[in-house]
Amino acid sequence: MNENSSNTGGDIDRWLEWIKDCKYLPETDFKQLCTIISDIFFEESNVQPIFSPVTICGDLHGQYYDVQELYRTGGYPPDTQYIFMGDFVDRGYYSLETLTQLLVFKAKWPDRITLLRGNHESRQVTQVYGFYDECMKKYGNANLWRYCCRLFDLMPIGALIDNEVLCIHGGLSPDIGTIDQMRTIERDQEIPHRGGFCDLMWSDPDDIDWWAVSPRGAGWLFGEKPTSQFMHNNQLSLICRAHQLVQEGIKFMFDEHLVTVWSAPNYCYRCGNIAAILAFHTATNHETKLFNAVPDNERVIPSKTTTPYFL
Amino acid sequence: MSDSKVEETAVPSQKPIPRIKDISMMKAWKDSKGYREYTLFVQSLNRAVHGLKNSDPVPISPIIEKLLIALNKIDSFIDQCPTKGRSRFGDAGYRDWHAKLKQESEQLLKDTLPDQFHNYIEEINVYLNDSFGNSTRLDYGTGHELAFVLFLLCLCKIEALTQQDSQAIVLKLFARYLDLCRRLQRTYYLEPAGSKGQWCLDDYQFLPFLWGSSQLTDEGQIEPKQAIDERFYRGLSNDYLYLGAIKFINEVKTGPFFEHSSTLYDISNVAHWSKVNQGMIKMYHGEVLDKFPIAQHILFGNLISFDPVPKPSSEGLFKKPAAVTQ
Repeated sequence: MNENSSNTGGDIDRWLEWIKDCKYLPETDFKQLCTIISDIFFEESNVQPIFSPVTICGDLHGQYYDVQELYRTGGYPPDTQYIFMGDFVDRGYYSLETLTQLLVFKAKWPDRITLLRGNHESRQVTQVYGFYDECMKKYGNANLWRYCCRLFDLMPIGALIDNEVLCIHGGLSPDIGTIDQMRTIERDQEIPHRGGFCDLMWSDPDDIDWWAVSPRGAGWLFGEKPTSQFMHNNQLSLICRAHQLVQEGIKFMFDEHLVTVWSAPNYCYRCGNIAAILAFHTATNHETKLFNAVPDNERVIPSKTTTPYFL
Repeated sequence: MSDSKVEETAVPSQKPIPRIKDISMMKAWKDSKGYREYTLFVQSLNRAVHGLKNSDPVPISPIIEKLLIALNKIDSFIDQCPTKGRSRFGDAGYRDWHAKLKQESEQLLKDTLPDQFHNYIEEINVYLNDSFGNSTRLDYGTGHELAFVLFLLCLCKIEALTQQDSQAIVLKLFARYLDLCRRLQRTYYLEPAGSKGQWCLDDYQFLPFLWGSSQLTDEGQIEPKQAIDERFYRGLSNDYLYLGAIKFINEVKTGPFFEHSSTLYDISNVAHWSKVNQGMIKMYHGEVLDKFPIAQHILFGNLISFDPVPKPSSEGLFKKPAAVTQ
């Protein structure tokens, strides 16, 4: 697929300008954008094949200004090809703007941006961790949140760079031994509470041998042995995942066979962590790029609104 | 099961358990005696601290004094349980602290409460143990704050505390509890339990804002719009729970206040503290009590009952369940 043409192309360019200033789109425009993106997601596989060079990114969590720093660090699309490994929304103040910008980029350059699903791209989680409230506050109704949830259901689960680097939000599942099995998941649904699909979104690596119960209440802790088994069976050289805060932005484990990439600097406005992205020149030659949170004076102060409870 | 007097004498102490298993049981929770009594308790304390500073002289009973000593003791456990280093949120040293709490809390309550209340300790202790966060998940949230207030409600129901203690319950005991929780949150880097980020009031607490806004009502000096700017009340943050809570946020968070605490930022736009206080009560129901993710962890026993409210009654809050007869 190439750049969209004619009418929608004009709209997309207008949206590109709009979103530059951290503004969200009018509801009708957003709905139109969702239709475009749905069509694109429908065409994508559960595990999207990607060819290097490509830069991979971890959790963003609605930190719009910091995501602009990410683009300054890694380069802007379409010059830089990106894989975002989920968790675009929740917790930060600008989930809507962050997601909108990613979707507009995706609409403009569908082949240069891959958006994978994270555990926060779900109805249940967004209702608990802020994105639902943000949509209600910014649009005054839940329509837009519903459109987004519909899109979340269609997002690919993973990406495979040059047939040897697997990118996935959480990690492995005891129920899923091969990438072919991932390809057969019926992904068009809310993330289930248990089972393979759930585990891919929720699991974490840990310094254990095999598997252990996750303190998160979903997914598993997986150790070095299932990781090397999975890599061997699928002829992988590296597994990239996000999902866990890393103070240094990036953390290699299991003899450099697995890497956690975290792209939300000063997470929750309190963690003081650095953020990272990982640029693959080839599947085996990669470079870590680090960035910090944008200073306060480069952010725009929004006007005060009244929360319904206090009317 | 409608006659709580029989229940009470037959089983003086019952280990509280969760009763709200799924969302369909939220209706039963809202219709329960526990919900009603808790709500009235929070509101009664809200009225009691209207216009008062933390440092104002209020009656302090011997039991309140002993409870403060117990909280000091629990606080000192932190010194005995060093941090162990963390990977993401949550320092595993907290697990040692929590184990210490569990090990010592029953004896602490025995030392604190006169003999006639000792039959209730097994039941009450469960709420105390649940008040400071979760040792598996290494997190803390408004559900734990709620457990502490249920602990206080239990003490009122057995009449270890009385109506005369209302002001000291908030201004002394709850304030001391907050200090302890903040020390735990900072030391062990506890994860905010189920936090909406800046779309909720605060990562960890709710009630300092609710009762704190009552303290500021008719106070005269500080307006809601000044509450988010420490320059206006330097030195007063120890005297008002609301201001102390904002001070703590500014200590642990970086970045602009309007982003990391957007709800508090918006509330600072409300004209009067009385309006803020009314809003806080509504919001406490909407965002804490009536939310399944929080309610599912609430524990029920004899004192905090899941039984339905039989009919409108004039029962007092500060009475033993034994006295509640229909």
